[in-house]
Amino acid sequence: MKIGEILLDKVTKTYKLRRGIFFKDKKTFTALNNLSLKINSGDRLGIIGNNGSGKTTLLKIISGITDVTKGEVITKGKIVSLLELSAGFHPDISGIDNIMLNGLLAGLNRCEVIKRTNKIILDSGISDFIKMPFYTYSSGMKLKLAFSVAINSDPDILIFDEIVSAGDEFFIKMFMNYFNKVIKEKKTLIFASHVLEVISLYCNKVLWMEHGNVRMIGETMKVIREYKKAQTNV
Amino acid sequence: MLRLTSNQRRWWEFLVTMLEREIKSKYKVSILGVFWVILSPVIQMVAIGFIFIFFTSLKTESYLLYLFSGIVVWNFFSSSVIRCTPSIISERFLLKKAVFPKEVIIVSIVLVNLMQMLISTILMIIAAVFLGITFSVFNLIFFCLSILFLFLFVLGCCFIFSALNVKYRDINFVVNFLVPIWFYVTPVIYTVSVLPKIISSLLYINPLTSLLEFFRLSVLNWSIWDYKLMFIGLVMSLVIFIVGVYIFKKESRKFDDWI
Repeated sequence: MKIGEILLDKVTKTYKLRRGIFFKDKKTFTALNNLSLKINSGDRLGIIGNNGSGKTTLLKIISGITDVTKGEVITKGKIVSLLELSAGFHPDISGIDNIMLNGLLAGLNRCEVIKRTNKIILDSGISDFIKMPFYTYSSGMKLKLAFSVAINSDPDILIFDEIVSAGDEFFIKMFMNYFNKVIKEKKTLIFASHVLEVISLYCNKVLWMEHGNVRMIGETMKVIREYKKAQTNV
Repeated sequence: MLRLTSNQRRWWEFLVTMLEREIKSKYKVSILGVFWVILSPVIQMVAIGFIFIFFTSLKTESYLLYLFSGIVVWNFFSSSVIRCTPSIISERFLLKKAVFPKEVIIVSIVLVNLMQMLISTILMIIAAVFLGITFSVFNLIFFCLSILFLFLFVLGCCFIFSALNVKYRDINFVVNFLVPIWFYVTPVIYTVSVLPKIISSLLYINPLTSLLEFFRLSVLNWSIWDYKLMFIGLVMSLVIFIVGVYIFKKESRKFDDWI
């Protein structure tokens, strides 16, 4: 298996809707239903689909945050994910202390984080606020810091959920620069979004999800065309 | 030199970072800061001692030492359990980011509380020696053992409560009323010998009783009541630790589904 490859074999993920010992009936929700998928090293995969179609669950399962109910996930290489804005940050401590925490979560060790702290702050473009507690940050600032840590922790596989929408012009530029770099370095990228323009610009493959399974996967323009057609029919 | 695999190294680095954070967020914003570590058990001792001194046959100094040792151990247990139980939920922001050793959250909280207990205990031992209680190498060995067992017991309890609380949020309510009751079935303010024999045997169902008696034996040369029951207590605390680790390992794979 090559670094950056991802393999999902008949993955099912069900959530129990009721917790508790007293209820005998088990209401469950199937977020992913017997899904098999192969993502090659260097693929830039865009994931589209309606709300509740299983995009985030799929990203969580690939990044290992949650466990599958059935099936198997095999990944090779270092995965860094950006699924929630404040994930991996502690609200009460400063941005600079948070870099250590977040860097460790992104798979760096303490020495590496210390060495890269200055670069991370510089890339994030929020040096004025870096000593302030994290809860004072706006969502754009949180996003920039999270993104800066992610791209400075040399990942092999990068996973983004729909979060880019909080960024300003500065961020969009930073984001695009990095995407170009990703394309050059042939890193694996997975990106869930509703913004089809961004996906068609940067992804070479698109996965269209529906009801926890693959509706269509393939070449970007083709899938997006079908997706748009289906949307207008509704 | 100890060779660590990259996973073990990652575990330790997480622990150090979480400890730093726990200490920082705990003391940085308060005015008296670390002084609270020693101040709060002393205030508790004076307040409780002032009342219960009239109910005990012990001499004043020895009762105060007895009480202080009880309070220090009790605070370690109760503040760890109360802080740890909801901790997995309050640290959800970490779990939502990446795979990492989740037990570090619990271990770091318990370690910071342990450190507080050790600071107060060492000051207490100095005071005890000053008052004429001997502290030999023997005591030191027992002391280390008792701390180890206490640590494992508290860690086990915290693992169990925190892991189950993710799925069954009722656990937090249960812990909040259980802890004050637990205080009264642990010989913190009274001695086991004042109770009728049948009731005092029942007290040893609570592993904390044995652990506290063992702790007092080591630091105050306190003569304990029953070695056999105490031994059972130590075994029980080990069992709780193992059960705790098992439950936490099993549940932690599913944490993300419930938070």
